Amino acid sequence: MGTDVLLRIVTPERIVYEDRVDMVIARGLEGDLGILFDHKPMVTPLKIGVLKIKKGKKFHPVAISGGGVLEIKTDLITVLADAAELPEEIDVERARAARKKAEDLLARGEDSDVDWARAQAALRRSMARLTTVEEYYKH
Amino acid sequence: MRGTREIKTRIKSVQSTQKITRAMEMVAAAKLRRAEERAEAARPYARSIKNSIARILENTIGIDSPLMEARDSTKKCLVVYSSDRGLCGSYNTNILRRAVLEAEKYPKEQVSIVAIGRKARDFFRRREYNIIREFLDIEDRPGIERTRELVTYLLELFNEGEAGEIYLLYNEFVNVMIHHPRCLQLLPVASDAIKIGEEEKAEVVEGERQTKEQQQRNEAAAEELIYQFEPEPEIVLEALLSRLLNSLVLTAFLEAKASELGSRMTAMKTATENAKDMIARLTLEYNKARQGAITQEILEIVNTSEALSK
Repeated sequence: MGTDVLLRIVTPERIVYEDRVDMVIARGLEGDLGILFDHKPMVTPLKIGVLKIKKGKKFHPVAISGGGVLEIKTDLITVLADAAELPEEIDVERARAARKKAEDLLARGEDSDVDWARAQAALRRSMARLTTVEEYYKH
Repeated sequence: MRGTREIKTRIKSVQSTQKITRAMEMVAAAKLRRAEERAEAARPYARSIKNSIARILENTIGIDSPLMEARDSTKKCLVVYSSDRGLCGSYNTNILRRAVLEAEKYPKEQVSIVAIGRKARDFFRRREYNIIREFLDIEDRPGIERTRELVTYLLELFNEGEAGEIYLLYNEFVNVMIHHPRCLQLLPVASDAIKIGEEEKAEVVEGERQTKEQQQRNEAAAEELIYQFEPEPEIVLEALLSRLLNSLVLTAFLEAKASELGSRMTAMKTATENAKDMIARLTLEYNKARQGAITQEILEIVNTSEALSK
């Protein structure tokens, strides 16, 4: 052994995930990252999206629904997320409603008085949550 | 001696006050437990982010962020966290006294105040300080949306040169009875905001559950801990620092809230006990007055009957 790495996903309000894992796939600002043990130390901001954890043969999705920063240090991966949820914590109905609302707002066009950035962020958040749930049931 | 009726009314009124203080005590106690849990739950993030930043700064040379640089501006901004409501003992007095001490270090026109909670606002308004923004009605579970709003605002102030230094004053929670007023420098981010105590460091290591073998490997790796940044280091560091601020403010809010509730609970407990003593004293007085009245009446009857029998 010794090829696993400690992954810790924390948000300002709680610890979301803390365990030894085999691999992490994250959506970095500059592209997706697959992280194994002994990865080069690095830091990168994360996009809103799904983070995948590989443990044994299974993949576990986690919704990084608020962006964040990822730090890799040899055998410790820290995800400082602004918000994150495990699939079982996600309220699918609410996420669907949020996606619908964001889409409606964006459909009004860029000239309207819609807070464009905010609506887009809301859309990305709800999409991240829904994708996470989808992935969860796929495996 | 007062009349029995008056004393009775007084006892009644003290009793109803006691009911209120007791209820407030219990409400505060219940809320306090939850507030403490939340403060506890926020700690891992605060620790992790401090660790990350400390590690990165230690292992990279020549990167810094405008958020860490001192500004020329002589303007100071004090963010003062007080409660919205009173009846919480010396909670507000303590923090406001500390805040005034801090504010008086500088000429009045250089100081601006961001008031959190009604007590702070009213206090500084009376003293004619420049209140640039107020946040009222902080909920019992201060959430991240609130703190983010505040942090965004403070960053704006700092970046536009409206404030050269920003301090946060709040009551730090030690235990239910003890809270310390604390003055924390938020901006520019001071290196002691990042530093963590040895105690906390030890906790982290334990949390990582390292085996000996891993530890050795880590030590070997630690020497060549050169971070790679994606994108530029400055951008990454800024992303981290703004999150650190948010975490600092959230921690402060949660601690201050717990302190407020603890303070209120203690104050109300004392009040309830006072009421109990008062009721006991008044009851004694009432009984004395009642006995006195009876004795008086008997005396009068005896006197009359003796006068009649002569």
